[in-house]
Amino acid sequence: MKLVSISLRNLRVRALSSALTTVSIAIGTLLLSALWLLLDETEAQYQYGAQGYGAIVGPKEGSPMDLVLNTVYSLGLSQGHVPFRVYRELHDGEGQIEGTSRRINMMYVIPQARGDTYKQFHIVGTTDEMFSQFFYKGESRDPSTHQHLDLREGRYFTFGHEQFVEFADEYARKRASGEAEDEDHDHDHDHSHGSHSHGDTIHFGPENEAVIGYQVAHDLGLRIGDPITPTHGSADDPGAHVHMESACQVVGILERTGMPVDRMIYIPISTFLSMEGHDAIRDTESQTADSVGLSAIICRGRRYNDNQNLRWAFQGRRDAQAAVAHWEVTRILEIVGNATRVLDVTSWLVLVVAAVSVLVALYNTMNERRREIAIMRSLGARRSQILTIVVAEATLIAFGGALLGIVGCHLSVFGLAGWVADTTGVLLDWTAFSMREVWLILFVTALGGIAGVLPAIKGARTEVAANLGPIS
Amino acid sequence: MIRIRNLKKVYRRGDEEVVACDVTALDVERGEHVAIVGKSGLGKTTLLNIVSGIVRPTSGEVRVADVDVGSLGEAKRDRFRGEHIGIVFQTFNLLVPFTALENVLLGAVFAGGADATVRDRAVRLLGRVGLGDRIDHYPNQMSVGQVQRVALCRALINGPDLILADEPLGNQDRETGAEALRVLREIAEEEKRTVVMVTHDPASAELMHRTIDLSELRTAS
Repeated sequence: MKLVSISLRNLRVRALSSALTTVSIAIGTLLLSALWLLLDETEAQYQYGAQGYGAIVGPKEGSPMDLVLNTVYSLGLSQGHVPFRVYRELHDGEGQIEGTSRRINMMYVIPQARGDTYKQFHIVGTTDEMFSQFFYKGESRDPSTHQHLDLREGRYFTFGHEQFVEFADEYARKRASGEAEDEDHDHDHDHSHGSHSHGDTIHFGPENEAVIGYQVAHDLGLRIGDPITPTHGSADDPGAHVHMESACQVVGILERTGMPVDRMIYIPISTFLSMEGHDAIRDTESQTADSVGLSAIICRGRRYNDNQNLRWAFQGRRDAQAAVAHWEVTRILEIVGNATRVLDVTSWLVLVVAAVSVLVALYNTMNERRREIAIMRSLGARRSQILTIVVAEATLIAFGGALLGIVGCHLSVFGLAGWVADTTGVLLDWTAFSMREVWLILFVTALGGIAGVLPAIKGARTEVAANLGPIS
Repeated sequence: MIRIRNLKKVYRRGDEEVVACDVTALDVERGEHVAIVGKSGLGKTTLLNIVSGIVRPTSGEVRVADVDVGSLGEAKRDRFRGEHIGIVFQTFNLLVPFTALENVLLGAVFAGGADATVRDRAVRLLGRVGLGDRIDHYPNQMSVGQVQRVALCRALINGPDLILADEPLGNQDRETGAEALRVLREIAEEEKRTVVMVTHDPASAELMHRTIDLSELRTAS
């Protein structure tokens, strides 16, 4: 039997009070550790998630930050359209970009069309260069280090740049001749492009294929061969409608990257633009392929300066803007950092208030414990031993609360990860423990110990003879 | 074992001085069993508190086992009490959250630690007083007599030189009290412990080697 056994027993005797103060410490610890975890993961994933996106060219409407948030993290709505001619200029212009005399060398130029969803996941129309060219890790100059979007299962779809150019020309030609509208109207009857169903069986068109991110497959339990039916807009929108005619078959599942890519569904851009209601040409004056609208164009310069130069080049243009992903992410993190400083201070205050509650709870029990302490003193307990017992009680409460808080934090992250991912694009890993949590436990434990000093002093100063019993 | 000379304990109550204990001279030999009797208010409990070092005398000399208890600092008095003195209170003063065994071990915890040897001794002592099957019982699960015997064991756990007992029979029936007192005396005889017992009960006092009436030790006024 040791002094700490006495402390533990005292906590057990005052189980309700001990539990309440432990919970208050746990809440403070949970808030702080959850905030840290969220910030760490946000910073890491926003930095990490934007790799591969050197510069993003998008519609002139909206801010560069909107463009990056929408393209990289699928947050917010697409602000408008960037014309196909800009894509062609970037892809085939051999570095000659209108708006600058400098030559801008691109490693890849990949188109994206967005706006549809399947369940809670975003559908992105693109070309197969997203798989063959885009890389999210590695040195630009050393292709052997490039980490592409690898397949976990199945295969990629095949729809390249040349096919996209052909598609755009054909689309514009049909649009000019009025065939496109007829096709839209006849979609339910004409299945030459797209999918159609007979009873329970869906027959997919050759371009109605989808490659899905790891998280999509994991959360929805999708396998190779499963159908995906795009919804125009978000599935939660009251006016959203399901593109049954454009159902796609899952042909590939990507390896986990830990990036927002894990939550994407990629389909050929032609399939996306051909869906009913996707009016790819909005420009009423020009009905050429150049006017086909895209949501964004992902670019990566051979050198970092190329990305910056691209941004400067588009600054004076009226048809599109370019955002350097890295700059915008830094700005986002600065804004997030400023906002979270307030939360950080609040969480510390909650923790301090919790420590004060330990102090008050113990201090108040000292009056009812006078006899108990007097008996211990009469048995030979020194003041320092009484001090140790009471401080140990506060320390144990704080330690238990801190542990509970950390466990609660990870369980909360486990429960809220899906919601956080949907609203912020940040994928939280509930199993990610950091050394900072160990330091937090130690700090909170020490804080509890300090909070126990005042009650302990009061306890240790208990008058022995006066509290032992009646004097005859 | 105990040597007291010109002991006075005076409390102030406003402007008034109240003499709580007044003993001109008292000697108790090692191994002696002494009963202290006297009317209420004479300061019998105060005397035990002074001898045990819980309370410091206002004046006079109090030596226990050749140590001037009154001159020791508080921490040293606490240590001295833990190592050399066992106390049995009138109300027994067991701690309710602890089992019989734990209550007995508490005395040892403060004196330096309750290791396996001490635990064995505690179990043996409880067995000796007939509580071998009650070691895991809490005070509120035991009779008054059993609680009293646990209190005896707690006083004996550190093998004290001196056992101070303040009305140890409490409000028990005579038979139960006598049995507990017999056990205390038996163990004290065996282990050559000195016993000083405050009592109102003449029959209990008669069981001791000597009876001292505290009123006869007061300074003539």
